[in-house]
Amino acid sequence: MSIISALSYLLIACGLFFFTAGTVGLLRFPDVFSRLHALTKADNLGLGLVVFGAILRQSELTVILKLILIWLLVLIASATTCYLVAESARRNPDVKESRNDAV
Amino acid sequence: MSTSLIYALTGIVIAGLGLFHYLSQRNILRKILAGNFIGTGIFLFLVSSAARQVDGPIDPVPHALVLTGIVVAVSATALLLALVCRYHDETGSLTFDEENDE
Amino acid sequence: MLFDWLSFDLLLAIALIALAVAALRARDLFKGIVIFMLFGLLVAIAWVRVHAPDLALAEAAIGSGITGALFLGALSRIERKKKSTAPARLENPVGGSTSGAWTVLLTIVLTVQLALAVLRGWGYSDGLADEALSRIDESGVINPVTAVILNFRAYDTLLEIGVLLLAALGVYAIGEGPTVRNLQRTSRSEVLETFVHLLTPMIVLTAGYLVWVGYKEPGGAFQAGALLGGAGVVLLLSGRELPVHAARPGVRIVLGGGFLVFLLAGLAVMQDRAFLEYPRASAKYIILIIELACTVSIGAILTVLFAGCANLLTTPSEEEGT
Repeated sequence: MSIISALSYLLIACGLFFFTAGTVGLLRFPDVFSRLHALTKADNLGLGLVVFGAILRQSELTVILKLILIWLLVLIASATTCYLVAESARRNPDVKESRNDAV
Repeated sequence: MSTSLIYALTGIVIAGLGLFHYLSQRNILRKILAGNFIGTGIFLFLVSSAARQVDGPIDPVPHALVLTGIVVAVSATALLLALVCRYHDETGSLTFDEENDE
Repeated sequence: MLFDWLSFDLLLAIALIALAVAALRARDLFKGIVIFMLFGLLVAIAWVRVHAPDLALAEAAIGSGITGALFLGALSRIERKKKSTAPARLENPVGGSTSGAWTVLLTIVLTVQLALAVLRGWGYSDGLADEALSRIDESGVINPVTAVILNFRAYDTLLEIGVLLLAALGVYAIGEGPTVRNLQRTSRSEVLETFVHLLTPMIVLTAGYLVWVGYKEPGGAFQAGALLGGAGVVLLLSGRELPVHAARPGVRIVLGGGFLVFLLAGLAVMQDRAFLEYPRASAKYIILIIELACTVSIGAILTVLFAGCANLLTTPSEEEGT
């Protein structure tokens, strides 16, 4: 029991590390594409680890399935939004992050 | 300091910040955004007050009020935004200041 | 316990205030709106921390989703209009604000007074909790929040659905700007198409689930309606033609259906009871029917509201005409 508990903490801690790395990438990387890269890669893996860490603390099957479903949905959603943001950035290269049109 | 008290005070501070910007911004869109912060701050305060007794029962009435309040707030925001867009269509302005409309 | 929850609450509170400041002071309104959406997401966590999972569900869909979409829709409409009327007067860079000393003073006094009032009166009474919780058996549902919304204070909720309907009518009445082009229909991309195909049924399913569990667990018409509204916004943004114009057949019935069913249910029990006083035996089913109708209406109303803000209300035929 305690081994499973320790493993779950370990997984969650690893997940948080990936979240942190992704956030640092988002803040520090120079342009849209590398930021997206850092964010989506790190967050998908980070969330996956956190979800699996949480699954280890659950005994009910329905809750476990819900957790996996959440992870899958986030994977799909983040892949799609990443694609959309990248596509829009590719099409409008002049719209950089400094949109200071002061509305 | 109990958990609910922290959030109640946070809500009050956020509502205060919202109020200040609501009064001081001239751009109407920014005023509406500030209004949303006032609303969220007050919601936070109300719901925290529902759990103010540490081990007591949780009052469902503020929860119900705020739940419907959130939905009503978003519809009011939408109506305001539609009005502002139309106002901008007609006047080209995003403020109510007379001197900018010459 | 490995984590000290109290310090988590403090961190979250500080983050909320910092985000509020950042959103309100952002020079670029676009950034302000994005930060506002982030703020909504954190508020959803705050709701869980004050034992309000019902609110967390609604806030996650509305505070961090629909409200932001409304603002961004309105903003992009205004920016496009500015570009189309070419040089136009470049408006005063409206980061400008008029912060007189009295504004600062008024706000500080009000905030401090409120905070003091809270600190003084905290923990004295338990409000209506006992009254509501002791009569939960009579409501027909188990989730106390649902009981309050749809039974104990159903009259309020009926009028609130009415307010939503009025807002939609208002958006219709304000109508379309004369010269604005429509939101650029995103060129159909396979990725987005697949995503929407996958997502929409999931959202509808989840909304149905939320209505169903609402009688005993967090969930109900408002949360499910917010989800449906979010689905509507995604569909509109992906370039789908949704029948949002009031002239389209059925739209008025869908928009007004929740209010109508609610009202009729209230009247139907009036033979030997007061308005909206459901008989105990059938209360559960009456509430479920009302909630289903309201869910669909709330979802449709939110979709129409977004369409109104983003200038998507025109029917395709009108669009070709302009």
